Amino acid sequence: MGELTIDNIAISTKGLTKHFGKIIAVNNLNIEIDYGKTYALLGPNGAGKTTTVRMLNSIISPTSGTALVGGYDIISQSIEVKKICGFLPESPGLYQKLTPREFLEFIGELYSLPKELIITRIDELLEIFDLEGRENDLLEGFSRGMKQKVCLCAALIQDPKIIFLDEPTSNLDPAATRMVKDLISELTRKADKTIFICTHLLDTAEELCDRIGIIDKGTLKVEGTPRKIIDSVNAQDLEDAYLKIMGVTKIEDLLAWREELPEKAKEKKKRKGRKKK
Amino acid sequence: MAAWKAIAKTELRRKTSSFRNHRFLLFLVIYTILCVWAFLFAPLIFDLFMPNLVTYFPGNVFSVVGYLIEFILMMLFLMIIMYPMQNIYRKTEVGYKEMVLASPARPGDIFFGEFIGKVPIYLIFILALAPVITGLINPIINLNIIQYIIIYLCVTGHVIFAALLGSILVSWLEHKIARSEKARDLGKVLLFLLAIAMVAILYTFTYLFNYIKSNPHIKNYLSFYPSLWFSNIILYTIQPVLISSYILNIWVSIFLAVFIPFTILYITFKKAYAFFSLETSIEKTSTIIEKENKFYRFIRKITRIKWEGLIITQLKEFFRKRENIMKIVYTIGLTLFEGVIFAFLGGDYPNLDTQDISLYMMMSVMIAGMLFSLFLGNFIFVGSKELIWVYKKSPRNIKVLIFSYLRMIVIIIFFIGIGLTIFFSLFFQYDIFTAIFFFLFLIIYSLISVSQAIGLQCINPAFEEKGGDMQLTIGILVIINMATIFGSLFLGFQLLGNFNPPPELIKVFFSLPLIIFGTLFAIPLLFFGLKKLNKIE
Repeated sequence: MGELTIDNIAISTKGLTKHFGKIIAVNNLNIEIDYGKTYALLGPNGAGKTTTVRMLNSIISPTSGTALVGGYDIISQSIEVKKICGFLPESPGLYQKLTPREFLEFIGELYSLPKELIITRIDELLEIFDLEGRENDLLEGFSRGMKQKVCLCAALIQDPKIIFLDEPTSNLDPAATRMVKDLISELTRKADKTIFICTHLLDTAEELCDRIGIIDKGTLKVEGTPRKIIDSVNAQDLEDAYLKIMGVTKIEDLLAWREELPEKAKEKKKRKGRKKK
Repeated sequence: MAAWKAIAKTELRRKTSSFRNHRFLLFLVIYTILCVWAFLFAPLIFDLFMPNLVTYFPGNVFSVVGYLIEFILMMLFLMIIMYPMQNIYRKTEVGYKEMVLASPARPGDIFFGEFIGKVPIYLIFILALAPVITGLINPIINLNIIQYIIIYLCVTGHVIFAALLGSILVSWLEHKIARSEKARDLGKVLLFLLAIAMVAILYTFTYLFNYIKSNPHIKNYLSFYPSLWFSNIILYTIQPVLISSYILNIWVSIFLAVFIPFTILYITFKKAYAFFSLETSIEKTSTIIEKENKFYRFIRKITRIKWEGLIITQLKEFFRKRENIMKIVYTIGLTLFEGVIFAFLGGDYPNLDTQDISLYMMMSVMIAGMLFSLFLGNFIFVGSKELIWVYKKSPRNIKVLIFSYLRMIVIIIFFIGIGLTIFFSLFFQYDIFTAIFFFLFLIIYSLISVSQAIGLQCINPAFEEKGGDMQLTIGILVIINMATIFGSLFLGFQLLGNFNPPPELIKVFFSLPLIIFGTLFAIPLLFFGLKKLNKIE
């Protein structure tokens, strides 16, 4: 396994692989992301996006390969990696019986931030995310979108150098989505943050990201700037390119299940089995 | 397939999801092991120390065993009925329930299916614990296989019937609460009242039982109480003369024990809509916390800065869940109750000697430890599946979750311990040193028990209160506690017999084995649990 260098690279993976038993979640992933850039990892459900993000955050360890995040090795320097990264998980992990303020205080304590700093940052973040006035309500009463906002605050509270966002706008209303998009571009432009986004939303990726990777069944299929990817398959936009790369469901198959009889389905299965052999 | 069958099947599948590829094998192995335990090993183990214990009970041994069986079944029946009440106000799994409700299944199908799906799990607990009853009898009369089978069948029917009544009662209460705004607003107050009522009923029974002991004819007025139908059959199996003073003869008892449960089951299936609904939208839409209360501010003052925020987080999350208040009241109530029962069953209260006091002290602490482990330690991961990643992502890693939770439990046990010590000191008339000894013994053993539960949870985390993982851990915990208590009793009596210590040291001879046995389980469980949790993916 070759040595990785630090230089200007925020995230660098080399042969990153993760197996869960017989399932290969991520297979030989090699990517490099410069500081101050926004990178999107696209792919269908179960493609290995979340597993990649969890490995890069030192939450789970790779089966083989390695990665440097902010110059730190994700295996041997996991504490340093955790200190410099913020992470927004796909499903919000919150203590339902705490208020947003209490929850953010708790996150600040997990990162050992000074108390005064925690209080100042909470006030600012709650204002940015339009949660003022609800800061003393228990989280159990929040909608999914509002919980997502609290999680975004939690991901940002320690002012991380590198931010991982797993589906950052999936539960948000249009106004909040716009705000998060603006925040992401501001964070990279003005605060020089590196942002790694996992998303299904192709317009978000196209609008915000400097580079995009498309992953399927754990393997990185394509990587490059949005323009390069679109041009590579002669597509009109990123959505078109994505569908061409991933393969499209035939329209005529979409309603076939209604007409199929059990005997016919069995025959079809047999035929498929024979073909496989 | 009938809707209730599909629901029962799904219920069982959900409870055994960890073994989804080997369900049949799982049940075959468990039932085989438990049958060997119930019919072979348990009687051998109980024979070792039961003769010693029997000497504690004065009078005719047969009638003492008869009373004990009646009393155990009476209390067990009541406790099983009341046990599900601690789940009132708990949020239901809305997603799954909504899907079931959207199907043509009727409330009867859902209630009946869910209940039937739990029966195989109940059987596991029955086979694991019922040998306590045969263990009481076997040293006195050598039971034959038919007697064993009849006793186990009676205990099974008794437990399942009580569980059915408990489920009906809780469903009815939830049904009423869901429809009453007043009940919803009462929240914690209602829970306290319910918990206090439960404990009060248990105490009433204890005193009532003592009264019955001296006035046996009273039992005829209690013929409606189902546990008596089952205990009558057991008593008849041991010695027919034991039920001669009852109105209920063996045939009436058998008729009632078979006919009533099946009739209630049938009526439940047909009329479930009258008491069962899934509209338990009992959580308020918004709860505002204006100011941190004095208790949390006090805890902040007494904890170290590094842990302060994390412990407060755990405490708030714990105490703001209303069902946890119920659990605490339940734990305190049952511990006090068991302590009182032991004292009364001994027969000589309040004239107890040092050995009695030491034995009851040990039993009370053991019960408190077991309840703390079941109700506090065991719930460390419930509802926090996603939160594990929050901890794992932080530089302080997941071990802070475990240690902040343990610290929170130390605080809770400390305050509960003060209350329990005051009660037992007054009840057993402890001197100051004995009271301090009891307090320390309670805190230490409770922490050992909770560590066992946390260790087990780290090895096999249960993120849902209802799931199979939780039941597996509960089962293992009960077995560990049984092994600890019987091992400690055996060792305690052996040490006492061999060394003949001075009175002030007798309590040490009973408490030390309990702590040693508990620690022997706790340290490896916690050690391997933390290792396993670090690797959770």
